[in-house]
Amino acid sequence: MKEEDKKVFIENINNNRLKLYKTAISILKNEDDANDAIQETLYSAYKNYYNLREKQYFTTWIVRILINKCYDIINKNKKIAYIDDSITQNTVGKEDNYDVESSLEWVLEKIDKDLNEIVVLYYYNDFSVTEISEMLNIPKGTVKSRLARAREQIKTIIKEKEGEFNG
Amino acid sequence: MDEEDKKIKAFVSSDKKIPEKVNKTFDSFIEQVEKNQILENDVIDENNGTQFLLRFRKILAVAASFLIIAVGSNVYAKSQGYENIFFLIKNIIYNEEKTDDEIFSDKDIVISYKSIQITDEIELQINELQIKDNTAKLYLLVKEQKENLDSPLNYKVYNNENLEMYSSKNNKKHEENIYTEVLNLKNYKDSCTKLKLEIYNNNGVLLKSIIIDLLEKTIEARTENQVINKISQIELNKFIKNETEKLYSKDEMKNKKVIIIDIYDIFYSNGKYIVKYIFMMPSDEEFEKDKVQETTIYTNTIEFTSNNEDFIKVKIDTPEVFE
Repeated sequence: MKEEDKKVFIENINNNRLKLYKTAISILKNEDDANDAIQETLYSAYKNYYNLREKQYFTTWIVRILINKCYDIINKNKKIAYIDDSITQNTVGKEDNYDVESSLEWVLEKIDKDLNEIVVLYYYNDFSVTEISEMLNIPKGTVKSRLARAREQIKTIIKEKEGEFNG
Repeated sequence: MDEEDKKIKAFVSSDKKIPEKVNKTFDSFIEQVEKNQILENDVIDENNGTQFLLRFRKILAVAASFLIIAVGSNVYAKSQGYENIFFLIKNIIYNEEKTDDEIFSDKDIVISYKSIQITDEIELQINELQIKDNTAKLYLLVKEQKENLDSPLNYKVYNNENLEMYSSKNNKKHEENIYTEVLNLKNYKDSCTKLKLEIYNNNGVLLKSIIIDLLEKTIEARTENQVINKISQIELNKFIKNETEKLYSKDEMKNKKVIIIDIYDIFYSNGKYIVKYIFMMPSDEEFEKDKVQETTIYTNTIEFTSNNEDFIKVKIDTPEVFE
């Protein structure tokens, strides 16, 4: 890779650290697996960077690679990505020590598990409905209906939280 | 994004936490890139314990695979009446030399030269089946875009009794964008009238299952897992939405809009797409108040052709309430 390209590549990676981590954790629900997925994604992105013709789509491109890696890990481990009982039990503790800084993880634990990716991609990563539809290979209508469900659930969560703070 | 969305966004995006371990992964990777420590064909860093373990696991897996292949091929060779696998290979080479100058088949079946969209980035043509005795060769022409992440593809072929005739694993990535795949099918019989070709991506996910009718010389392609990659999803949605709206009068559509929720089945057969979908028609008020979930959901089927630019409706059914 040319030095100039390398600089842009590194800058892009740094700008997307949070997005990549939040996307991976929303799918894998496990820090070690998320770390593995990110590691594989970074190497894969580096190897294939020259294939990316439209560099302005770097974020979309790398998140797409990451999503594939995440599903690859799920398939390999034969794990169920949904939150398991032990984590559900821990939720109570997390709620008690609720910290505004960890609001995303908290929301993800509260909403239906099939909505996690959509919420991270739309609200956290700012991808459009069309981009999400392409990334996850699902129809745009499905993205919209899941977003509508997520919106309802998050609204309730925020209201409850506001109530707790005010009460 | 409306006010409510902005509020939700502000709430969830206040989370800026990345675990130290993950940050270290980023830092270590960037350091390697900066110091040119990553070779493009060898991305393993042996100084990193996790990576080393990964490499060790891979080596172990490859070694185990070789052992399984060696044992399995010897068992197969014995079942075919040979002392061991070397005699079987020798026999195959000897037979191949004999047939070099022969025409492979006088029963070739030209199937189709029409492209089938496997994903947005991959097209495939099933060109020809060459037959000789109980072996057959299926010729595929594959066109890929460079950025495609599904490549290299793998294939499985079954006969009409659902017996496996071909299976590939870990195919190598082709350097060219357009290339021919030749699948050597085992146990071909003249009674074989249909073949099922399954196409998998590099993660082993089934992308498409195609039924090849050898008598009619037709191909029926079917997507799996409700993934529709055949044609532009956005354009298809628009087209179906428009055609569905046309089924209703202006009065019926007053203050309402058709929303395609899901395209759950799509077939391609004899130049025609047959698509089954579900939709709803919420009123503007329901839509604004987020009561879309409460509206009736309908199911319907539409048939159309495509000339790569436009969709041309052939037939659309009357919608039914989806239960």
